[in-house]
Amino acid sequence: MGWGFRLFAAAALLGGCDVANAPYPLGDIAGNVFYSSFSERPKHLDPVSSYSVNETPWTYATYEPLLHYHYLKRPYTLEGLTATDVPIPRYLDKDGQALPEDAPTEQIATSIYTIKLRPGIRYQPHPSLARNAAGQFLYHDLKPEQIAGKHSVLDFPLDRAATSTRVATAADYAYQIKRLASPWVPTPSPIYNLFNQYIVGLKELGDRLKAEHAAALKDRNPRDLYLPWKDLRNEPLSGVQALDDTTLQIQVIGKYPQFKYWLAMSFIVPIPWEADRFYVQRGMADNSLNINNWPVGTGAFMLTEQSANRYVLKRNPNFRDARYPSDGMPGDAEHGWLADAGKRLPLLDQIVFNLEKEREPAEAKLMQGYYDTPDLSRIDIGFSLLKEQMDNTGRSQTLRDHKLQLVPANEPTCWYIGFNMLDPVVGMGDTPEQQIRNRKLRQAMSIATDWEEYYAVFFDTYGPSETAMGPVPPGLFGYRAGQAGINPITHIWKDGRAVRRPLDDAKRLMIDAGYADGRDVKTGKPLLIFYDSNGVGPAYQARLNWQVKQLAKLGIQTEVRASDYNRFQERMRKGNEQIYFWGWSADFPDPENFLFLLTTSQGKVKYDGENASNYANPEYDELYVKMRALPDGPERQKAIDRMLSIVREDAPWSFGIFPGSVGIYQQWVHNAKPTQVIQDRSKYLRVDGPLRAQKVTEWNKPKVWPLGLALLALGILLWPALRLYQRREAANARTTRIAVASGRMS
Amino acid sequence: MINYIVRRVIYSLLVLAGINFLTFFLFFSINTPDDMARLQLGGKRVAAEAIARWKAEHGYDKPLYLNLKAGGTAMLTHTVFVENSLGILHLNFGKTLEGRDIAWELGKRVGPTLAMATPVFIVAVGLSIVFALGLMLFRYSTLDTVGVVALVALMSISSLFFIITGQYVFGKLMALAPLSGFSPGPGMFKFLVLPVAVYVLSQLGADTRLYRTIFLEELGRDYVRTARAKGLSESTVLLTHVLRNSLIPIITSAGLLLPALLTGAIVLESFFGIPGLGSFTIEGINNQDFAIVRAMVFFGSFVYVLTYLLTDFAYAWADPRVRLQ
Repeated sequence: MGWGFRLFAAAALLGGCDVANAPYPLGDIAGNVFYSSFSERPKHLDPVSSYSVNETPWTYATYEPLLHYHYLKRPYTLEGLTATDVPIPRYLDKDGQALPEDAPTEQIATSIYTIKLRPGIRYQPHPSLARNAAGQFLYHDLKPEQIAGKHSVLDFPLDRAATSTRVATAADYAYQIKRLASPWVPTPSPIYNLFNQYIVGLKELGDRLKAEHAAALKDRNPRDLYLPWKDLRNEPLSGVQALDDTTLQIQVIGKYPQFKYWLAMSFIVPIPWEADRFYVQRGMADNSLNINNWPVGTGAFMLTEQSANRYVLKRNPNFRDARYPSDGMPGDAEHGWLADAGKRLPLLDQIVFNLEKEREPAEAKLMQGYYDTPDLSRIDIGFSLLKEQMDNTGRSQTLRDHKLQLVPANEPTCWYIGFNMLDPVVGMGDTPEQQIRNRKLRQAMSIATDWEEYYAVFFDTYGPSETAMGPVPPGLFGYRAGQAGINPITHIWKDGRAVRRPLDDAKRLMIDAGYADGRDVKTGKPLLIFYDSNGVGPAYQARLNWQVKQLAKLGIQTEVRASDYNRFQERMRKGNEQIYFWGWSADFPDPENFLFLLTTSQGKVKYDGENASNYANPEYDELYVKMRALPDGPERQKAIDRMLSIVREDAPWSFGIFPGSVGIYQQWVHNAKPTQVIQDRSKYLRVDGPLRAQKVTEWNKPKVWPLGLALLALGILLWPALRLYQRREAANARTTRIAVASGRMS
Repeated sequence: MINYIVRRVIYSLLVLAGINFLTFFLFFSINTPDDMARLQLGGKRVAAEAIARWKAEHGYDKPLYLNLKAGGTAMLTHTVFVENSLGILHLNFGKTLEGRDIAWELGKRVGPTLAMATPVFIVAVGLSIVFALGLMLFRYSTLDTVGVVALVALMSISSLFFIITGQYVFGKLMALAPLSGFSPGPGMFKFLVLPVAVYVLSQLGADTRLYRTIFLEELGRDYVRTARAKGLSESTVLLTHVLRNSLIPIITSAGLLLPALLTGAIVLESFFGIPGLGSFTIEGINNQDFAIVRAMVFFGSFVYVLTYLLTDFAYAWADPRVRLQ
């Protein structure tokens, strides 16, 4: 009884606390801190290698590209970030003579981007930049024993330093571009092979550095491949010049208007040579000290803590004077997205990311108020909550009570089912007759696949998802809404909206293709299609079943080959797939970034590119080259219209859906305009800490009475046990029948 | 005794070497170095050249087992197996694919795992013994039957159910403990209460039932009858005689629990966000990081081998008749 009482008292004491389940101190919850989660540690924080969406909350918070997108304007509008404005290229012919802006693409040999930088942009405090009063670096010539035991940049104190920062210069951008080509950088750049086709001299630099690197490693013990620092400042790169401290010039081969979008990505950011010089010291890599783990940038935040389950970004004290935008779109003011107009950025002091491997606890903690948004890098996970709220199911009442912001947005992403054009059944076909038959088969399958049903069932009934009529998503130039934008192969315009063609149309195409009722007219055998999917597991099974049912409408039998992503990709690379499910998320908001997915030069099997359907059409390719070089306008639209018309007719994809997004934010989060394209959004966010603390306390009042009830139930259970025990202990041979031999006792 | 130890150590080394080879064989039967490179470099725009460079930089650019291009011993030594796998035998765990030092990571992660495993081990074994002895007091009564049914029910329920229910009831409905998370230092207590309770509960059914069976068997022995004949109370018989004589099988089963706990309760750490060895293993598997997988398998095997060795010594302590030869 004593123990029971003590337990109850402890529980009551616990009940006296305001909040018992808070994962952080209440003081922090009331502070200017943003809480989010991550499910996987970032693999690369070095801007050379970082390309994954889940790394963007760190990379775009710590680094600053030359350009960025206006936070509020839609369609997405590029503007200068560390550059003063968006550079307008000058064009030169092959003799170096200047060409007018509207010169024919084929005459342009070089585009010259002259980029003016904002002055006075400074790096975050960092030991690599720490110098004493005499100007000598404090941590550039350390011995391994001085590095031993240090596993964080914070282990190199800056209090002895006269300075621990410096101004970022144009030479630092040039240095970073050289790093893209350098094998001395520990992890390769996924973008190097694209950039070396465009930046003048980058390929030559890469080849030269590769040869030097191989020579330096020749005959080295594979267990010790340490190489000293390679000073890339001394390596010539003809296409990239720092004309002065604030002027960077980049020469691009030919005309490539999309290059400006790459300037808004984290591949081209200032990196101080001192950082490489610091991290290359023997012993640093052994202690996981490198740019991939500890970035050095000029961004609004800096990484101050990282562990397996927690990352912390703090306000960069050296961040320049950047302001919240004062203009946006109609409706932005009503959303409160202009309330902080003109305020100095960043608005947060700190961003804390906690590890959440599983979705359930992450969602539950969101509902408890412990996450301001579930995952800062993603806004494609809010559909389930929006659906619950709209359908009045599940947690709909709690969602309303908690005033959770569920904000839909259109994002340049598409999902589709692709046909392997190398396949004899669904592919291009060898003879003209075969080509027609195969095309009709693809068209029939495209009609039969009811994507409207797909997104209604599995995705987003209430958000901005829509059926894809081609590869170009809404919000991008080239996309046409309404009747002008429908895919006439799969849809008709009826009663003011696009309606999928009736199944009979698909069946007629099947007959023309030689597969009446899904049977090959020549052999009489049913048509069997192999469907490759990288989605596995019970949750995905419903989607696979759905796909099987779509083709079954035409009598086609489908064999699903669900595999992990490795095997899936391997099949794609080898062209062993027949039809497959895949998607593409834009690098930048330009139609080129989707239309290139169907160009011959991107063929997966032949060129290891991104055209997994291995589609090849000379007219499409020709139009692509033309469209790529054109500015947005009627001529470009015309080219895109024709390209869309070609791929709709050829149907290398069953154009699936543009999924849209739904951002999830707590009521105390301000300025959360959902976007997947703008990655430097954390600096615009603001939280009302005191409101959060109040709500968290309100929503998480400990309920102790069930513990008391449980103790009572235990007591009730123990009472007869105690009585029984006492009876047995008091029993003697006369009253007790002990049958040890048989093992029974009563 | 010394001979015994030497012999067991040699056996153990052979076992560890065999496990190391098997790990390598199984891992690369499923994954290829190309797969690893693609996963690390991301799904978009990955050129063959970048993959080749990644493999060269991480030492996966050579044949797995036999380098036919090399001559002499280099045929064997210039292979992924020798260069990437044998180092572990002299405790060089290497680096993760992201460049993090695995030995350091293990050092950092063993703390949270131990913080969870130690109370689980003590409480689970202790409670199981107490409950099993309790059931012995009421054996063959209705209470015993109800107890056994409850134990079977506990055994039949997946640990995942306990985790989700525990989080729902204590973390969400009653709001008495954080749903997940971890904090080093004294702050870890509130994060560990729930996972420890859940783990103990999930262990309770099987362990208690096993111990109950062990005790039942002991109760039928002659020394118990003698003890009773001496007039000892039932509780004295159980606590003083039966428990002592049941220690060997208890040590065996408890010994099995310890390495499983130390290598990390994978699902538990994953759901509760505990940055221990279990979540490190998951991280390695998800990232197709051979160095982590190899290190964790090696570490797990080492703990198992060591535990079995210690268990044998514990036998000798628990039962003077046992001689280690």
